[in-house]
Amino acid sequence: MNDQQYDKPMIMVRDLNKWFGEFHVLKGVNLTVRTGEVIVIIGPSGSGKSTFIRTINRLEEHDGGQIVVDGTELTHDVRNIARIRQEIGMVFQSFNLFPHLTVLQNITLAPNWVRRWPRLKAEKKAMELLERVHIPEQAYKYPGQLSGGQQQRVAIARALAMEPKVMLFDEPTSALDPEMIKEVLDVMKELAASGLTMLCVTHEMGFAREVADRVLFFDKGEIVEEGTPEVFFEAPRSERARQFLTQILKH
Amino acid sequence: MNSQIITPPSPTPASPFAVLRDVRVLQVIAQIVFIVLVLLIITLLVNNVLIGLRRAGLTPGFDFLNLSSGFQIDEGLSASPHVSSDTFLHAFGVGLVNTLRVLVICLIGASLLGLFVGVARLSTNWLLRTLARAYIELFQNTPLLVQLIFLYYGVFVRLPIVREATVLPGPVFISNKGLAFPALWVTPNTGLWTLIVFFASVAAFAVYRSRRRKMIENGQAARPLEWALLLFFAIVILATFILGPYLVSLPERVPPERFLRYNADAGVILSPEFFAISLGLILYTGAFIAEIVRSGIQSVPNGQWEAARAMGLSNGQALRLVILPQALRVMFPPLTNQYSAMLKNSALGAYIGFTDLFGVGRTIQLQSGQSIPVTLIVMAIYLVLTLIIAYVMNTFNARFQLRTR
Amino acid sequence: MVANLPMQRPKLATGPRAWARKNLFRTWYDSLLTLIVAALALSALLSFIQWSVTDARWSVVTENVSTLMRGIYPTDALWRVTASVLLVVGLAGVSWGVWGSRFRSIGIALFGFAVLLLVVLSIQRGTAAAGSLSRYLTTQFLPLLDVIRDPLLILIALLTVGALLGRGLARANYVISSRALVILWLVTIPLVLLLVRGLTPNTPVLPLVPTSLWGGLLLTFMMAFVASVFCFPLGILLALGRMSGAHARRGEKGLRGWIRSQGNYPVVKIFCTIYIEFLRGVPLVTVLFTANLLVGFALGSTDIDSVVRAMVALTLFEAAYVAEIVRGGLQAVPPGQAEAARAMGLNPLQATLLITLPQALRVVIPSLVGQFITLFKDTSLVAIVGLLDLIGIAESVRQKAEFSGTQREMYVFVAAIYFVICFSMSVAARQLERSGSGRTTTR
Repeated sequence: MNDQQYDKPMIMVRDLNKWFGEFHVLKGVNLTVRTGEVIVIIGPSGSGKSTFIRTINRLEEHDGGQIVVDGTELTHDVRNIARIRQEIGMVFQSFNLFPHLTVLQNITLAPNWVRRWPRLKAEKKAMELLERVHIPEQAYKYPGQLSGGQQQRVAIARALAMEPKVMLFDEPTSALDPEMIKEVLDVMKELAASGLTMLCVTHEMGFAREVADRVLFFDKGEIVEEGTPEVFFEAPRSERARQFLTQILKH
Repeated sequence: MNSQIITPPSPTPASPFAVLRDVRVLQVIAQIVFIVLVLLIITLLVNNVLIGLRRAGLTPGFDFLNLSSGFQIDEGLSASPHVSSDTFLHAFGVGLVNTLRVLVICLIGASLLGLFVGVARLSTNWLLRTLARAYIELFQNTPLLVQLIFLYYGVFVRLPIVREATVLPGPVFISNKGLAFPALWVTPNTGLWTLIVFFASVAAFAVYRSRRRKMIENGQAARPLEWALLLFFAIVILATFILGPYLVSLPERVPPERFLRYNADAGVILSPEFFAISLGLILYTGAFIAEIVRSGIQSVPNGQWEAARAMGLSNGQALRLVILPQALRVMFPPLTNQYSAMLKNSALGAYIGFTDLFGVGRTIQLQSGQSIPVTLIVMAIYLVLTLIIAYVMNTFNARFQLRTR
Repeated sequence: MVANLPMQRPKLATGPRAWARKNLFRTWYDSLLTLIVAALALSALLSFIQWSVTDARWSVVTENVSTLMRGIYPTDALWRVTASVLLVVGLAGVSWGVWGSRFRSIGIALFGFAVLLLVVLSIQRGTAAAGSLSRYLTTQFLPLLDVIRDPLLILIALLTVGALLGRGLARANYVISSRALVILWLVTIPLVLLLVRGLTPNTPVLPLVPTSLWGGLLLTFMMAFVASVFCFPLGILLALGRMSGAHARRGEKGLRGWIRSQGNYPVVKIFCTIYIEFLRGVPLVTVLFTANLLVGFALGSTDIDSVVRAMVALTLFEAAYVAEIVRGGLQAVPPGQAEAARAMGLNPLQATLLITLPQALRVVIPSLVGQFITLFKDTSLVAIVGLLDLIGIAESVRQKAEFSGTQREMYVFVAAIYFVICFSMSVAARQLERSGSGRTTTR
């Protein structure tokens, strides 16, 4: 945790509630994320953790409570939504790269059309980002020609192209073959070290231990426990967290 | 467990324009604009149409349906289905009946033909495969109208005249006035006989079930199918002999001047128009159904064939018991499309003079001058029929779906 | 102790005898089937050949070819039609070269057919022998071949040259050739329209040729062309409208729940659904007749040419079918694509145009080509409303007294034309199906 960045909260979530029909999926969630913080969210499937981070960039609409990102409140106001989405980059479990565009075009699409950057500026930035994720030579290939790990790294580069203040990761390595998980996690560690605010839903406990500033344990729509990784993994306070950890860490 | 709650920044005072940026408001506005535009266009067009109609002296309305039609239809289910004193409404009914006659025949015919050709397309016999493929390609790539005209003018109209009609055993007469064959007309005993047949089938089914149960439980060959059929036919034949439920009426070869489309005492005559449209539809739709059958069968994984053969089933049994039921699941949506298409294509019969719903509609239009109401009625009936087909097929489809967890 | 038998690879059965045994005479009933079917097929084929060469009166075709092909399109403007045909066929050839496959087999078939045509006609010159058969041949059957030979040879040549050119271009740079080809096609469509129709009656090189003068195969093509140009965009709009229920809320009950479940734009969705289901539930002939009746009134003038009215009807009708095909494509695009687009900040319009729609269209291109084939066949129905398309002219011609009884000849010819065109398009569609899915993935 970096004390210098303790000034202003980047994300503030207050009393967040969401229903899917009759099902109460998020029950009064509260969270404050400081600038530069790396938060890892873990929990059993169906606990609402993916839904939670998807409400932050409006991929899901919340039914109650408040979400404020970088000073802008997330409401039905289209301008607010657009502004927030430009400040948040998202990386998905299934990569969601656009198959009909080259890698370079995938990355330059948003800067071109949303920030209205000229083509050369967007491409220069895209090549820089590809360097940062260590695959500059793939620029002119199509996503289908890349391995899973390479695709996910392109997805990270694509999300970074808009120079976001926050990066959301929704189980980024769950769809990867084991030998490719490391390359993606390495990139994510580099991003964390560079001071980017990150919210990451993952099952990779090693990553959480190494990189997270805080670990949140989600269960049944609530944050059951949170704390620094040392505290959480060595001495979890709640029963549910203990149960979950024994199941996960057995293998 | 909460993080420190930091009071959120006070919301910026809502400017009056902020509500315009609300996503929900925008969506509603967009739809209102859409409705207004569409309504404007529709009102404009309808208004123009009404003005034009009034100028042309036509006043639309549905009262004409009760007027007498002034024309005659010779094609239908009875001896003289529609005479000029019958109402327009009655004419519609007869047209609808004719469309349904064609539809039923073609549904069965095209499905059977499609099934046969589709399976032949996958045969190990090269000749059969190639001929099936040639048939499919030929009939899929020419318009139905061309096939219909060819069949009607090139084949059916050229059949010999009545006096020199071809005779087949029956007697069955084939001439350019149609196909005449013996008919079974109902008698007072028919009702009782039908009831007996019904009970016979129920009894036979019960026998089938009990024999099968015996076979499964005791492991003996109890021949359920043979016993059931034996019982059924024994009862039916006995009833037929005792009751004599049907009157057989044979067609006559009468000279052209006295030849009627339908003569209640002289068998049944199917017109060449009926044949042309039925045969044309069967051949045309059959080609499409054949392709559907072929791709349905090919969609069943090869492992199913292997497992069936490994169990000792022959090719034919494997096809019938294992492959086709699974293929049917895949075939349902495109089959529904084809059956709907068949219904709509049946309207082409009007071009060669078949008095189906569309053909009758045209005549009514000419006789009554009420073009728009007639068109609306015809379209509405086709729509309802299409919906019925879709509904029936979907019910079948649902029952055929695999039950999964 | 097993004796060591010398190992011998079993002889593989090859050659025509083995092929016949495997494919035709596998079992005894297979052989019986083969013999019966072969006998039937051969006899049918032979009687057809015999009929077409000796009995058929092909003069109904040979004397009317011009009208069948173009109606009463003025002869001095005919060069425009010819130019359009050459342009389109050439472009089709190049498209085959760039996007297609199976060059060798199709190329051989085309080449063989061309050679056959040339051979048959050189025989004609040779058989100046006497005899009524020969005389009949020269007055009926051979003129038919004469008539079809030149156009067919030119088309085949154009197709092959175009294909070779296309292959070369594709080898050089696939992406650029592909893009250029798409642009060329998009340009050709209005160009052909311009060429065939012309501008005003006073324009020097391209005077107006009103639609009332279009007829025959020309009219069939133009109707299919114009209708497809307009029905595809309309269909896409309808599909998008019907799919505007994408971001539905789940699980609410009651009327409010149902409206909510229709998604973000229920009015648009309901309207599009009604349009699509209505037009898919009625026969095309009814739509044609209604349009005939109403288009004139609706647009405020009774002067609208019947060809235009039929085009309107065809467009509105086929748009509903295109909409369903495109909707299937839209549903096949993974929802994650739209999510990623939205997450990047693209607005819904940008997301649809740049991301969802291109992928959806790519998936359904073979079905869309199939729909075009259906559209082409459906244009034949305008004959029922009295238009003089290929069938309309065929009917009016063969009903003349001098050609009575020639229905079969005329319609074999008409069927052959439709068959050649539709079959080539379906071959193209099959090739697209095979190649379209593979372009962007090599893993």
